[in-house]
Amino acid sequence: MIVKGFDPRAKLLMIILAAVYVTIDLSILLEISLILIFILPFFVSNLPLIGSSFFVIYVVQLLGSLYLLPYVESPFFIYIVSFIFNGFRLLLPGIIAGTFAIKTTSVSEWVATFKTLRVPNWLLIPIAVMLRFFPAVREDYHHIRKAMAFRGIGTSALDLLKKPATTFEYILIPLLMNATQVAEDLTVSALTKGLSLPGKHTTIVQLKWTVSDWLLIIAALIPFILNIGGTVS
Amino acid sequence: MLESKKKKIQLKEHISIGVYTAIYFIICALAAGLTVLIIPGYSYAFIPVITSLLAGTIYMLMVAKVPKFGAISIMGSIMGIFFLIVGRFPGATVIAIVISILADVIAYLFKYRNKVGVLFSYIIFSYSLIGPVVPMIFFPSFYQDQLIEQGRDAAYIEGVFQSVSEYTLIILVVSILIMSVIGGVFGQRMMKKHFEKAGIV
Repeated sequence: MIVKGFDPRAKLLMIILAAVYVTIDLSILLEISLILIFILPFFVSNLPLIGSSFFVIYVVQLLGSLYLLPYVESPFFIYIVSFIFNGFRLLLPGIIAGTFAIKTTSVSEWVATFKTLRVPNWLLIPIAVMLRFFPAVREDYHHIRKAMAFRGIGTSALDLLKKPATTFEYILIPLLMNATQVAEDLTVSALTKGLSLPGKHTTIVQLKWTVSDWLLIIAALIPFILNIGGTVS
Repeated sequence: MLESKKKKIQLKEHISIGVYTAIYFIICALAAGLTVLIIPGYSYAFIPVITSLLAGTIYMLMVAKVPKFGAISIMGSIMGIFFLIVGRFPGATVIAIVISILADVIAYLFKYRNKVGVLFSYIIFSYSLIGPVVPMIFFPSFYQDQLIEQGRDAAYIEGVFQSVSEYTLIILVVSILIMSVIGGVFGQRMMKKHFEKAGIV
């Protein structure tokens, strides 16, 4: 099973590049092209809605920074508004790259990626278990809420406000009890599948670094190169 | 050999850590959801405070179930890696890993049993989520320059940022301290009330 779309390693590299861009002061024009390059993968991977909403967020931040911020006078609001429009705008490429990675990578692809990146087992196993466990928590939560409703506990938002600690306890404790049980079950099934055996483990997910991955990374480097060129001339 | 096997974390415990980290992660997400919209942009800084109030029980349960060096570090590191993957401030990952290892060392010194020691370790651990907030407090120069470029008085802007940052930092540090004590004690009471009785611990 070869991974479709971009290689997860390329997605991770984009995230790292975005972190580098935080430290570089780009002109507005280069910043806009950077954002366009970062939202491009969404359109290639058939997620145009997310891609365009990020662009809208960026445009709102840019306009807010240029036309709203100069008129804010209260000190506290200057701080908040400039954090939303300027600070958060710098972090936006990273958030875009991160959202893309999360949205388009399956659990088994993540596990295969971490394996190829030689993430040690003591970190890999908890991560793999964690990613697989999320859907189970949702199901458990619904069961717990049903059981609580059956006994007339915490059925409305008012109860949550009146007795927050008790309601929290009633939801959390069964969840944790069950989690402890699930951990035991998973151990048995993992041991049956030979997870504790020494030697190299195989995976059916094959990562393949393709031309499109190269193109994405090179495109993401363009604003950086232009920025250096711009300061020289 | 039996002795060394006992001290090292086994596969079973790795799986337990994964399961507990999943619930810890959900609690963080819940805290973020509750916090973020109170004061748009600004209350983002207080996500760690709400998390430290809510995550005490899961921390105490994990320490009781996996009383070995590494469990707390792995839990904190996974959160750190998550910060990296969702594209938060990259230093957040380093902060999460370093602080959770520190919390692990403290719990280790108390052999993962002493109640006060574990509570102290939980207080330290609560600060591991502070990473994503750091750029807001420590690097306002990133976005303060743009304000000055727009023609604001530089001294005034610097003054504003410094005072708001300082107050935010003080409020943040103190409120995490208070909330993690409440959350930790609540967690230890829950352990006594439910898990010890049920024979899970």
